[in-house]
Amino acid sequence: MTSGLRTERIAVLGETWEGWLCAAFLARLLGRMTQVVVVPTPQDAGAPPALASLPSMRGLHDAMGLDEHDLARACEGTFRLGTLHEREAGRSFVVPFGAPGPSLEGAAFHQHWLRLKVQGDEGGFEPHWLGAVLARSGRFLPQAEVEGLPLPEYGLHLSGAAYAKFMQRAALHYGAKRAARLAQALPGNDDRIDALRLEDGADLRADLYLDCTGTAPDAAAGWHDAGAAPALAWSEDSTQPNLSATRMRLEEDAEDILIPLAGRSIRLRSGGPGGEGRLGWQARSWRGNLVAIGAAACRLPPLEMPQMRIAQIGIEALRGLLPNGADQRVEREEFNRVTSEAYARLADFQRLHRILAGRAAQPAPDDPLARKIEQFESRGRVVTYDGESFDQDSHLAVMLGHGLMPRRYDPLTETVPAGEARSRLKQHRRAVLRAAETAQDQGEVARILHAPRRRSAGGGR
Amino acid sequence: MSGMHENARARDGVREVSIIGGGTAGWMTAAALARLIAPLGVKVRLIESDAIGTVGVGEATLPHIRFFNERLGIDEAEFMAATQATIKLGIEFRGWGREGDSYIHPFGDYGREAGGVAFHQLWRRLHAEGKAGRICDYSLPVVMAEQDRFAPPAADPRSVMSSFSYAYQMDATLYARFLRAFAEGLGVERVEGRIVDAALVPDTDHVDHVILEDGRRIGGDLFVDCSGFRGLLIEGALKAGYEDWSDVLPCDRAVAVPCDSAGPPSPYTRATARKAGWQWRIPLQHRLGNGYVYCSDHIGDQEAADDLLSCLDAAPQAEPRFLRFRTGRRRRQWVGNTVALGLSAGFLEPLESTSIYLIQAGITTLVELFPEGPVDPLDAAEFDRVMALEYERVRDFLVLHYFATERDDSPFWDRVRTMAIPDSLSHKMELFRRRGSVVQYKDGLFLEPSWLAVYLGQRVVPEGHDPLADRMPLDKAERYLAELRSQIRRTVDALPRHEDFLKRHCPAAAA
Ligand SMILES: Cc1cc2nc3c(=O)[nH]c(=O)nc-3n(C[C@H](O)[C@H](O)[C@H](O)COP(=O)(O)OP(=O)(O)OC[C@H]3O[C@@H](n4cnc5c(N)ncnc54)[C@H](O)[C@@H]3O)c2cc1C
Repeated sequence: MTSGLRTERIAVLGETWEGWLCAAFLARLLGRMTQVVVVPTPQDAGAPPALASLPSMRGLHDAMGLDEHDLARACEGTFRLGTLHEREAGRSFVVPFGAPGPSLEGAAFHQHWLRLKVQGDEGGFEPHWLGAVLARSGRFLPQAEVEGLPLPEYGLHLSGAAYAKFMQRAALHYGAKRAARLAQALPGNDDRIDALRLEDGADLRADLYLDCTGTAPDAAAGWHDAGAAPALAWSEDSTQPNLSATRMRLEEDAEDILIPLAGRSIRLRSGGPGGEGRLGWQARSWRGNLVAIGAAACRLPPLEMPQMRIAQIGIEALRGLLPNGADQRVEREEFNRVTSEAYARLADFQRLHRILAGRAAQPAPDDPLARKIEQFESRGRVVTYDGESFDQDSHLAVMLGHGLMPRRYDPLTETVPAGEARSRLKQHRRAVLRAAETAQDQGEVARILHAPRRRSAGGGR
Repeated sequence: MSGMHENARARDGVREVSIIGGGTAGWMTAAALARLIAPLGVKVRLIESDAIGTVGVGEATLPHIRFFNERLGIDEAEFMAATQATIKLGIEFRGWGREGDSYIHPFGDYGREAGGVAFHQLWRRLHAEGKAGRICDYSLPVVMAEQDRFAPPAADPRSVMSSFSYAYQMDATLYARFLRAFAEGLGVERVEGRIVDAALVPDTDHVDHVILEDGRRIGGDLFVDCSGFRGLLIEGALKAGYEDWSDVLPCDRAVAVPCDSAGPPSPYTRATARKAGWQWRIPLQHRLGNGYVYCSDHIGDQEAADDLLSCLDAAPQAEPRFLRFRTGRRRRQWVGNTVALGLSAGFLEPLESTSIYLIQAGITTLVELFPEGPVDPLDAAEFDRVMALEYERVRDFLVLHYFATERDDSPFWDRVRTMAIPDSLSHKMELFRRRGSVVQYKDGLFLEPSWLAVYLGQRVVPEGHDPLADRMPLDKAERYLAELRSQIRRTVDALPRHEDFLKRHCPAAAA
């Protein structure tokens, strides 16, 4: 291909954690082919005190050649096995990552439990789910083989400021540049940016501009509105109840979230009036030659900590659609289709929580969420669609966790004699217990991981 | 606790399933329900009429059928011997992009991803510079098919022998017979007789019973309509409605005729584009299945039959059979207590051998949603959602074969080349043309390699490629491709011939 069709330069607007993440990713991915320049802007949002990732984020970090242990070490990180949802009257449930157990005779694992449960002689589901047990007990099992159990997956809890700094170092190490601050974006034809005028007077031209400022334009055309943004109050908390789980409490009209970092916790209260801007997402987050990624594209409440996932959605979509010429229409349309679908599913997942907690209206019959609830309620069947961030297992955990009990179980479970099913589940629980016992306490893991050490070789320059 | 348990109560609901029709759909359903649902105390019965007969032409399948058979506990060698089956590694398309063109759509991958970029993107970059062979040379199943060789795939993902899957080419009538024996062995009751009427529970869309010619009435708590094109219950009694897709898939007839084999059977099906449609050729152990699928606006029945007969490999074994159909989908495939499976649920021409797969998908979904209690309309809606997605995604893939052509040698090809296509397809094509990217989805039959096969095989050439493919140094990429290609060639050279595999594994009795 001739260089005329190449993307010579990508300008990342916003010296934010998302901006540096994009820059690091693209600089690493594109190497010498494309220059990546980060341009600070006056609108740049500060890094949130804490971030949390899903297990799928590891793919992105891997692609950058970053080891998640190094990342955790550099960012006060802990390993996130799931979310602990505290409900009223001391009740709580865990939404872990990964699967609980293998299917049996054509019926999903949880259906076998459900069958015994409705017959009245079975306890809760959680003891069957190694990920949940680890998350609740503050343990971590990096990658041991555990007899016949699906391996628990994990994300990270990270300090937002440290993560931004880490990504900045990585980006610069991989060859990205930092330019002077933005004075003004110079518009061209058809929604396009012609150039960026910088405070040092220079004009910076790029083939593609990424909006990573973290601020979404209020009510721009194509904005899918999801209500007024709640007020966010961050604070530091010295309590360290459990390093393996994000703790989340749904209150009357607030969410109270505790994110455990190594050595301290970050508390986020979200709710009430006084929030900035609106919640929602851009149905067309790529317009002209400007692609919005992260909070500039989609802003959702902090339930299940979606911020990193939102950035990940945009970055991964862009990765598959990096333009190879000036005409970006086709890439743009596909990007907008894929990302708006993913944002909608992510917002739905949060709404599912709220509906089941009795804090949001029941879905209308033609709402895609209605199908998920109906099918689970009726027969424990988990429905998911294209573009989901959370898989069937996460849906299962949320629905069971909120106490949505299916009216029936899958009849195929009955091809296993009840006695055998009972002893299989018992065996499974025992295996979970044994595995949990061999797992390390995450306090211990953190002490070793974050012990002062001589300069590490990993993690950029 | 007892309040929420509906399963026990439910047993008073569906205790009897009546399957209407004993074609491929009927007996597949009967066998699956006998194996999976009957053990729960549900009685399964099938009603068919010898006088009416079956379509009986579904001969080529997709790899999914292996999992169907496996789940039922059917032994592969026994099944293959009983149905005169051969191995199918893909479909050869002749004359689709242009007259004289040929490509194989394989059940397997092209190459291996390298350096974080899809193989075909790397290939596209080198190919544009004249430094790569045909994309087919990097597909193990294509090379196996071309050389008539076969051995089962390996489980070890590091082995190149794990890069493909396979299906069967079989005698559908024998398959139905095989499944009938299987199902009857598991206690399915077979009722012979012609249904003349169906009675609904008054003021509902629930079928109460069907009435046979001799006056017998046969009830059921759940009816599965496998009565073929006529859709005896789903349309006849329940008026589900039909969504007609002939604007994008205008073929509406077929003529079929078996002929003698002319040499060892090849491990692939052939679909040859013709003036007013296309012709299939499906090698079985004992014969070749042939047929011409055509559009009646552009060719007459007699001419089509003459055309077909004039290009058989060997002597015909029977008189040509004519079939009529209308492409589309029943608007609702589950109404009240009736579920439609097979031709009664919809029809998509056999270009990619999808009908038996769609039957299977319907059965799987029915089993998942099996109504033990009173039938829940929400389950019916869910069934329709799942199946609608399946049908629509297959439709788009079939339309691509007609639309992606340069042929202008007949009014038929002019028509399909210039027709308006669904948006869901045009955006996929546009993305591929632009940069060789294939739109991904979670639920749907045809995955990236299939779309690639047809795009590239039918001259939908990407203008550019993913810029990430430019990262690997040119000479390194060239070596990588060359090594892959010779590894595939070496592997295939060492495999047994397809006919020898059949002789050893599953020889059928002489017909
Ligand atoms: C030209 C052509 C080629 C095809 N090629 C392939 C292929 O290669 N691969 C593939 O997967 N699929 C193919 N198919 C599709 C495949 O043939 C069908 O999906 C399959 O045969 C299922 O048919 P069926 O059982 O639904 O209906 P049928 O075979 O029509 O069976 C209908 C049954 O209903 C019974 N019945 C109907 N009315 C009554 C009544 N009033 N009373 C009692 N019984 C009744 C009949 O006796 C019969 O048993 C092809 C189809 C056509 C038309």
